[in-house]
Amino acid sequence: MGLQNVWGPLIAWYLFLAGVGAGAYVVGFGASLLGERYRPLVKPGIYLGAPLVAIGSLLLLLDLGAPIRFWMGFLRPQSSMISVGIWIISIFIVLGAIHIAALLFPQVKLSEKAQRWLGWITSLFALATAIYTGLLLGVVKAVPFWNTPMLPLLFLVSALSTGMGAVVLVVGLRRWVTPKAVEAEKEQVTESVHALSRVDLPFIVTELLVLFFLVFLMAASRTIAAESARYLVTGGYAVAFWLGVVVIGLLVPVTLEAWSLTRGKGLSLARLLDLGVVTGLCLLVGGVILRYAVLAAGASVSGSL
Amino acid sequence: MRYGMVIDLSACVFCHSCTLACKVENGTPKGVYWSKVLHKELGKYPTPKRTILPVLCMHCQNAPCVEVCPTGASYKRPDGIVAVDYDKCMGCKYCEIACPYGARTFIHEIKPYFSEFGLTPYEEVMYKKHQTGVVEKCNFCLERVAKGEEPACVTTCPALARHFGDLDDPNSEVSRLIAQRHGRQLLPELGTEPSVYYLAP
Repeated sequence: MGLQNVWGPLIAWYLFLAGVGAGAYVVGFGASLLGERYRPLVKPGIYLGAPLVAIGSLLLLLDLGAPIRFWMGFLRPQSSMISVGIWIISIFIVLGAIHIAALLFPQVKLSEKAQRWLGWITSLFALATAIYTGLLLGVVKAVPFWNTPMLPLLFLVSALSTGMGAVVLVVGLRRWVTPKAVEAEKEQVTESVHALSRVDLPFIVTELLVLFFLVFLMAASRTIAAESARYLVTGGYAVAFWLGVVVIGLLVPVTLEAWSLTRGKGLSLARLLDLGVVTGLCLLVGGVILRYAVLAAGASVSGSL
Repeated sequence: MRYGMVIDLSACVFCHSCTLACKVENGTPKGVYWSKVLHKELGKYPTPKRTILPVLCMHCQNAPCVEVCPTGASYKRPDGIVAVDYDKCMGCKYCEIACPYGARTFIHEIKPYFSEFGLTPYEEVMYKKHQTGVVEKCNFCLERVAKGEEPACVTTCPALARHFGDLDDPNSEVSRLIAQRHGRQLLPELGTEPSVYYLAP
C-alpha cells in the first residue's frame, strides 16, 4: 500500500509540540494585549511557548541519524523546508526565552514598549512555526495526501486550538496548586476561561471542516491519497482517527466549551476550571493523535510503482 | 553531458542479476538495495497478470531529494548523476520521504549478512564505504563511470536489457532507443524528469 514509515512517533510529537508551543505563545501574548481582564492567560501562554517548542526540537534532534551534524542544517537557510524551519524555530525559541526572562527576572529590564514589540515579532515567528509544521509535509509531492493547502491550514488551526487547550489546562490546574491566588482573581479567571472557549469554538469547527474536506476530497481522488483517506476512515487507523482525533480531540471539547458558555455564570469557579482541565486534556490528546494519524497515513506514490 | 539509462522491459527476464551485481559492486549493507526488481500481481484468477519493474535511482533532473535536502548532502553533479555526500548528511530522512521512486534507504545499522560468523572479509572491506545514520542510494556506479566503465547492473544484465550513455548526445545508443522505441519515464506527471527510461514490454 506504500504507507510511509520513515517518519514515526518522534516526528509526530515534534510537529505537535511545535504547534502547541507556538499556539500557547500567541494566546498568551494576545491576552496581554487585551488588558488586565485576561491576565491569568498571559503567563501560562508565554511560559509554555518556547519550552514546548524546544522540547519538540529536541525530539527532532533525536530522530536524526547523525545528530552531531545538526548544525549543518543552519548553513543553507533557503534550501529546504527543514532548513527554513530550523531557522524559524530557533529564532522563536530565542525570542520566546527572552520574553520569559523579562517576565521572570526583574534584572532583565525591558520597557513596556520593547516587550510589546518583542511580543509582536515573536508571535510572527510563532505563527510561522505552526505553519511550517504543515508546510514541511505539504511540499512533499510524493505523498499526495499531504500535498495540499488544506494540510498547513489544518495544522495551523490545530496549533492555535491546542495552544488554547494547553493554556486552559494550566489555568485549570492552578486551582490545585495555588487555590487562594485563583480565588482572589476569581472574576478575571472566569472571564479568561470563557473567552478561551468563545475563541476556540470557531477554531474547532473550522478544524472539523478542514479535516472533513481533506479526508473527503482525498478519498475521492484518483491518486494513492485515496488509500491514505481510506486508511484513516475505515482502515487500520480508523479507531484512532474517529475516537482519538474526531471524538476526543474535537467533538468532546467543542461540546464542553459550548456547554460551559451556555451555563455562563451559573457554573461555580471550581466546576468551570475542572471543565477547562478536561477540555484542555482532550484537545492535547487529539492534537497528538492527529499528527500521528497524518504521518501514518502518508502513502507515497512509490508504493504504486 | 547527462548520464542516463534505458531499461528494456521486453528483454528483462526478471532474474535479479542487476540487484546482485549492485550489491557486489557497492557492498551495500544487509537489507539495503540500491537496485531492485519490483513485482506486482494484478487481476484475479483466471486472468491474473504479473508485472515486473526493475528500479534504481532515477537521477532526476529536477530531483525532489536534492530540493528537500537541508544540508546539501544530496546534490546534482554536472554530469547528471545525483549523489550523496555522507559526511554532510544529518540523517533527517526528508529525501527518503520526498523521493517518489522509493530509491532511498536510511541506514539504521550495518549488520553482517551471517551474524554468527561476524563480518566476512568482503564485508570488512566494503562496509568501510558506508555509514550508519545517513541516507543512501544508487549513484550510477560513479567510480566505474569515472574510469569509463558502465554501471555494474548494466554490464551484468544477461538479457542485455540495460543500456547506459549520454542522454544529451542525440546519437548515443540510449537517445536512439528512447526516440525509436518511445522510451517512457516513471511518473512523468510529477515533473521530476528522470534520467532512467523504460521501453515497453
